[in-house]
Amino acid sequence: MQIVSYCGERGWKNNLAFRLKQKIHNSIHTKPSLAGLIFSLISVLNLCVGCRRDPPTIAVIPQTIGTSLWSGEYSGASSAAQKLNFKIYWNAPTREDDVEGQIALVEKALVQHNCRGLVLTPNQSLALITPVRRAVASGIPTVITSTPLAIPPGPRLAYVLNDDEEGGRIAALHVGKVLHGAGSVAVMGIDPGVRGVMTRARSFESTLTQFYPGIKIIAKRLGSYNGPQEQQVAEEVLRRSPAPDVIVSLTSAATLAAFRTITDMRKTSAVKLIGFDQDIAFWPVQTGEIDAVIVQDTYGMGEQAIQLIAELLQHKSVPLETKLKPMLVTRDNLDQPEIQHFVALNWGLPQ
Amino acid sequence: MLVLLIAVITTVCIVLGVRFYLHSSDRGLPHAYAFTSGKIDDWQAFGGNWEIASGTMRNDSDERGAKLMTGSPYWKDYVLDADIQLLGEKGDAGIIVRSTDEETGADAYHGYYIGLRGLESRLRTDNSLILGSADEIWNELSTAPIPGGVVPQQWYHLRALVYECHIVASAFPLINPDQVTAFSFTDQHCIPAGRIGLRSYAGGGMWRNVEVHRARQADFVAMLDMVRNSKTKAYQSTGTFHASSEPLPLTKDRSAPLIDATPIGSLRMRDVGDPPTATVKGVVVATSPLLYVQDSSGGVQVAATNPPTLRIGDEVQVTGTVEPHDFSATLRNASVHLLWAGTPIPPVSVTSSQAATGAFDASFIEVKGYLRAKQVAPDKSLVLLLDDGQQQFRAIMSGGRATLSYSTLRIGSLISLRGICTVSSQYTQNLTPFSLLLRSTDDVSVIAGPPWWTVRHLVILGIVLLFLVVLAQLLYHRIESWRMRAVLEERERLAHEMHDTLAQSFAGIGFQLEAVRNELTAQSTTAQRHLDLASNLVRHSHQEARHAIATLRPEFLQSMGLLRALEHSAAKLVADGPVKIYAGSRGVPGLQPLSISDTLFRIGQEAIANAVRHAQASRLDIHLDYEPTAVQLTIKDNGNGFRHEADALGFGIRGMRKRADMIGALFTIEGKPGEGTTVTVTAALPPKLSLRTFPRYAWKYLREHRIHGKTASSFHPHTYRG
Repeated sequence: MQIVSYCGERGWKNNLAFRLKQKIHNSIHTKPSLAGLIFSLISVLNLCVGCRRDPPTIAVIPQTIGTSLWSGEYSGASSAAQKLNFKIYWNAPTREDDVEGQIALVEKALVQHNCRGLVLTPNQSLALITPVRRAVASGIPTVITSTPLAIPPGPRLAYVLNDDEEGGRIAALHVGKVLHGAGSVAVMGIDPGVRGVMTRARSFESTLTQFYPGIKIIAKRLGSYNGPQEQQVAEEVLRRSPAPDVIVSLTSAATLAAFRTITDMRKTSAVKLIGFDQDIAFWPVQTGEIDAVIVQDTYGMGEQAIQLIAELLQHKSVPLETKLKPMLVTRDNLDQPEIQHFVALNWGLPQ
Repeated sequence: MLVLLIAVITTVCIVLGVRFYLHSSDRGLPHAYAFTSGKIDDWQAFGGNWEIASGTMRNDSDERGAKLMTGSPYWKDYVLDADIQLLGEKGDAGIIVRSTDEETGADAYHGYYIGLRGLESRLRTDNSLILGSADEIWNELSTAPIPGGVVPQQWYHLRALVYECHIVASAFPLINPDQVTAFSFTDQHCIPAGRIGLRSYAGGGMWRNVEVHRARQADFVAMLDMVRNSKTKAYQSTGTFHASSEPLPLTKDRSAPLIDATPIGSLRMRDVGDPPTATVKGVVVATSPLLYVQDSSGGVQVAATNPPTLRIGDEVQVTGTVEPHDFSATLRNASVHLLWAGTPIPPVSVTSSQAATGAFDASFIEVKGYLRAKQVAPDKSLVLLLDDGQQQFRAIMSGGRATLSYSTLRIGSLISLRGICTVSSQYTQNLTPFSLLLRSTDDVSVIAGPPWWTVRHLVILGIVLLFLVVLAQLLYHRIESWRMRAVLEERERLAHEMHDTLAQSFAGIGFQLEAVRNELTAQSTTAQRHLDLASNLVRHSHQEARHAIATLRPEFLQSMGLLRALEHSAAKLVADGPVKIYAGSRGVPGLQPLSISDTLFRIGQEAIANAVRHAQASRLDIHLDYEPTAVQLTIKDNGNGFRHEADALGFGIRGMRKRADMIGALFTIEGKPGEGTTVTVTAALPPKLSLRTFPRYAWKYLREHRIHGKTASSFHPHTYRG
């Protein structure tokens, strides 16, 4: 594999160094002149500054940063980048609902950091369309991970998504298993701004209806990444009479809020909680306070996204859409090696 | 050329010297940072809500990875000391060493972080002294438990030493200095140099007595001894990746009763009969100057009786007496219960017109505007007046770093502001539809500076242009002067050539003719006549050659001065004839440009020659009149006079006029038949450049060139004289 023509932010320096070397070479082999001497002096000074050829940089911008969910993507991306001789620019807003912050970061990555590729997990399916289209239009290979945008993939735009259809199906089947085919469910965290979440909701509902008609969805609540709002929703749901037997929270924020509320209302034994996304540590699963969490393979997403960027940079054709299977994590399978791959927070970067 | 080479080498040396100084690993060390108002200009914030309070730097934001950076990126081996306090029991706070490439973001820097970690998500590293490196992602390197845990709102002294690839960290509570926790770590692929900083993660903190000084081997050895004596059990990572810890479910403040909360947005629409008190749940969006809490339906001002230590981002439950206003409400006598630590919510981006509707009263918003005025109020708060073309509004920043913002914000800049929108007349003074209450200087970011076409910039531009024009003019005339000198040198060379060849040949021919004459017999009368004719021709040609040599050589012009040179030239022409020569001058002859002296001399020579050869004059007056700004040459005779029609087109007069035009001089010739002739040349002298004369000269020059589009004849093109 040959990736030598893409220079990172030091690319201009490389060109300058080349020109300087040429000039010095010419001045040595021609009649010495004052101008040549001056240029040589400046050249030596510039070379002293330090010019080196850096690998091309790829921006990886998840929904937020500093959480276990997206740290997995960093590990996967770094692992692939190291093998393919890329450099990673990694940053994200501190909240999943900071759409403007994410847009600003995308522009910053492409303009200031001169990134040659973009891996983005959008915080919003619509608002990120424009920056992504701009990136693609300017020739930046882009891979959307986890949740799709509301635009189709194309020659320079590929998707590596979490299989939310499968996630919803897993959740529904697990609810059926927990409730033995009869009971009530409340669904929280339905966020129309995130396509993947809506896919989960639809898949969950259809699977449940198909396989467990005895289980009724008694409440469906819109959600966001606003903690207090989600807690208020959880309180409303739990105060219903009768209270649901299971709460299915479709986002990490809803899972956290539902967990807090169930704990506060001391209903951990009465109400089962099934959440999505491994943004919280797994001790509540170990203790049984959370019945199950359906986790994304963010490590695989990061890894595959970088590989796709590398192929797109070489103008190869790539699969437009790849879906990675989520996993159900329960107290029973938490210690299994394949589950630990998702939850251990210790992937071991290649040295 | 040699001068140019020396200049280049000097410049290179200066550049290298400056570069060496700027890149020095010692520059600025040691340094103690006193957090007093207006003295923290060199700190740069990346997220958070940094403010000075009573000699301490405080970040009361729960933001993940808020940083405040300072120092030189070239600092290598140093010791950083700081007193640190965690504002709450969650999150961590500490110091950054050897950092570069900082950006806003949880782990967006390249450096080491040494901090005190409070309670986290039941992590093994809770209540520990921690060391990690960040390069966009957190990599925990070493941890050691703090005996008794990390107590919030208690001061700890933290010390970090970086020496070569060794990092040593220690911490102890100030109330018990003997309780030292310390460890060392060696990073094989260490970060070699970088800045220092303060950082908190998912919890606020306070810092004071921040000092940095160069680390020597003795310091390193002393700290290693401290590590050995502390007997701290440190856990070192295997070098693998660890995710950052996050603010996660912990034990809630159990004093908060579980109450059905009211949406904040509905507080101002209380129905008659509703209870006077209400409970809301929301996120803290501001703690200073007032406490504001916000949920998805709006914001509310909270006047709490005994609020707990709150940080921006905290999720709280507030119960208080509702005081409804037109656009929002205030909760009086409120009791505030901290529920969870959270991440600060982003502002809602609105236009000033949207904010002016009152719909965002008491809410955290972001708005853009052009800075029109700024002032520091008597209470030291900074008041900014802005508008965005549609609405005018005020922004108020209190205390702390407000004075810093006053000096850095320039009128006319486009600014983005984040703060609490209020329509209260207390803040708007009934002058603007709304005001923004800024929480810290970090809520202000300059999008674009003022436009460049300010009066100041235009004046500077004008002065620069003027300077360049004058410089170009100066350069042009310096080149002209060089050219003139070259012409004169060439003339002198020609004179020498003529003297050595032509004149000598004429002399030789004359000598030979005399020899031929001596050989002829007395009968050869025809030959004698031809010989006389030839001898006369040779003599005349010899005289002409000597005259030409004399006029070509400028030495005597330079050595005698213009007047004496003209008098000498006239005397040679008259050569004991009847013409009387009177020469005189008025004024002080200054140092004139060579081109003027030479031209006046040539014109004078021509005028004298005309008077002697053609006018049959008996008197010739040569007069020079020196004025401060001009010199005038007058050649006057009492001969036959001057006939305009016949003589005006003569070759000599045309030559004189052309010469005068070349130096921008005024040439006149006056006379009537029988009444003599007067030739006058008036040449303007270039002004002496001084601070006083320069503006007048420049204005005159521009007026001449811009208004008339050409150089006036009265204005001499020479730019200066010494």
